[in-house]
Amino acid sequence: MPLLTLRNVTKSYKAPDGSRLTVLDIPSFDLETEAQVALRGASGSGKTSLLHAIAGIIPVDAGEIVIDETSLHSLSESERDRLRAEKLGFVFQTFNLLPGFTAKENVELGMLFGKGVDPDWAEHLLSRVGLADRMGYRPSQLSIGQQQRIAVARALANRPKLVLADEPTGNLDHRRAHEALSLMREICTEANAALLLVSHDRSILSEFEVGHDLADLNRALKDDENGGER
Amino acid sequence: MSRKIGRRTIILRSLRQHALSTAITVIAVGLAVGLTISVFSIRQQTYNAFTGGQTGFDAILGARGAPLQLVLNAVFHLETSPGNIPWSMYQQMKSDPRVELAVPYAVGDNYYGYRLVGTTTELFTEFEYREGQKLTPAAGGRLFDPNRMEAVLGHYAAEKTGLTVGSTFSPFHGLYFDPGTEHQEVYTVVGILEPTNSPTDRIFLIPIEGVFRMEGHVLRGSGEVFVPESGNEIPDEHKEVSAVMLKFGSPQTGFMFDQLINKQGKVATLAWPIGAIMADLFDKIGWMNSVLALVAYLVIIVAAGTIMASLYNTMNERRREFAILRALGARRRTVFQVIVLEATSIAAIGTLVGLGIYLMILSVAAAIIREQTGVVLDLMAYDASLVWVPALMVILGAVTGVVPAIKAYRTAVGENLVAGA
Repeated sequence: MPLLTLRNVTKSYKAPDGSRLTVLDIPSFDLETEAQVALRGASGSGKTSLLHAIAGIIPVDAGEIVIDETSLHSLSESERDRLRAEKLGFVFQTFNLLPGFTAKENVELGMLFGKGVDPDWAEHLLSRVGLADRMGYRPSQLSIGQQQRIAVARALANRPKLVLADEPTGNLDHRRAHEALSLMREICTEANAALLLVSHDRSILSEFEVGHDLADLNRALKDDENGGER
Repeated sequence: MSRKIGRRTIILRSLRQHALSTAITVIAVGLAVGLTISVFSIRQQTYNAFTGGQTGFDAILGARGAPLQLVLNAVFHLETSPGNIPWSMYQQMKSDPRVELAVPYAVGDNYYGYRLVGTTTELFTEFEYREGQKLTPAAGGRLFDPNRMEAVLGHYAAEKTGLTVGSTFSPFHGLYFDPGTEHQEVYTVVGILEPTNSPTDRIFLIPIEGVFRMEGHVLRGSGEVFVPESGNEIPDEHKEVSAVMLKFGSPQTGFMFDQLINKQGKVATLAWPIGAIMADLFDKIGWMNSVLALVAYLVIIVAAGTIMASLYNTMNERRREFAILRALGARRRTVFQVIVLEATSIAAIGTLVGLGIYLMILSVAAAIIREQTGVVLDLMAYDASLVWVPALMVILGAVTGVVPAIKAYRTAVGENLVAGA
């Protein structure tokens, strides 16, 4: 049984002119346990919507998303929150660290709503990403690369089964992006977490054994010749 | 390293991040709480102090007039004297077996605004200003000799005038200080009373004979003007007193004298019972208390509104923060609780500040009341408003957190995560 299964998932938004704009129409997608998969898509191809749908942050119009044998459709909102807190980790393009909290606290926030705060694990993760001596620093006191590493550590904080990464290296130069990606993949492997990464950067795909073009999975892109913003 | 993170950390970090608006709101709440408790507590304490029967006497006999004026003049040493009564009335009371204690007061002079009260030594030997407590000169002092120009000073009056045992002074004529009215007589301070926390602390006690003989004073006890001569005894019929302080054996005696002097007689007034007369004064100015209370309630409501406004104003900039917390698995109700708890925390911190402000206001008010009346308020006295005002403020704080909490509750996670990108 795959860790993540998508079947006939569709998602549309209301356009300003009142019509419906479909951004996701994915007949089938599977992700195996501990697998690491990259999806490439142009800007507006529904990458973020896809990850938010998988995370249960936005509801889908139709179809089924199953994570670790649990169908999101069958869960209430607070149960989806719980599932997200316990089984998923998130790395955002802008990292979305909370500015008022230290590096360690940001990582601990990733545990707070799940299985509980484990300061030792937070320290281990920060040491693992090379920030052992920066645990008490706030994000504004750290470089972009260091902030990105905190975000990676936070995504692993609750020992998730699946890490969702949305353009995680979008703010880094090529060399740092490569290093960050390698680190993220290593840590996911160590933590036995699967990784689903979306990016507009074609070179990212070459770093993964398994990579797909989102256009091959998402029929909404094929139907919409003009692409459009999503 | 920092302590383990929790919801409390989220709240504290938020308060710190918005330190300026938090501080302003806390101060607003603090002022509201401090002012409101002050209004209720000082009103109650003042009422208790002025009506609580702490004078040690049951009644005052004085010239025909308003009982309230008699009380203010003879007990609190405020107001002017309504006039004098003949010495014989004092003697009559003193010899009445139903009267436990009768002490004459004669007033008419001051020393830099502190009143001189002429009296007898019974005020020290017989009178108890509180149960079991007599007016006692502090170590190094003694009672005045009724036949000499000696004075015993109230503790506060001595402190303020700087006079000590052995000091000499000349009184000024009248109940209010006028530098051009200094008498020739020179009095020697022979004792300073232990503090009593009563109006007695701010008076000078001298022998009543001294008031009779003070330069420029005339006696009209017999109805005719009599000027005492040095070395000659003053006949009793010429003597007069401003008031006779009375302590009765039973409440029935007060009732009986009230009938006899106030209802049937025409020459004197019996102020009895003293507490009820003062309570009547407070009742008359009760409307002012109601206005003050209303203002206090409004201040509380404004403070609660300030909490809501300050939190609500931060909601826009914090939408991303809530979206991140939701993405990390925080439930809607967790975000809601954080905001309500934040509002409650601001109210609670403000309330603590308010208790400090209350103590400051009370200290200033107590100093003013002591300066003006000698009545001392107890800074640590319990008042119900010390419980219900903080409780009300904290509850109101929590309630005002609900509106911004609803806004946070409704934060669209997806949109705000992307908006931050």
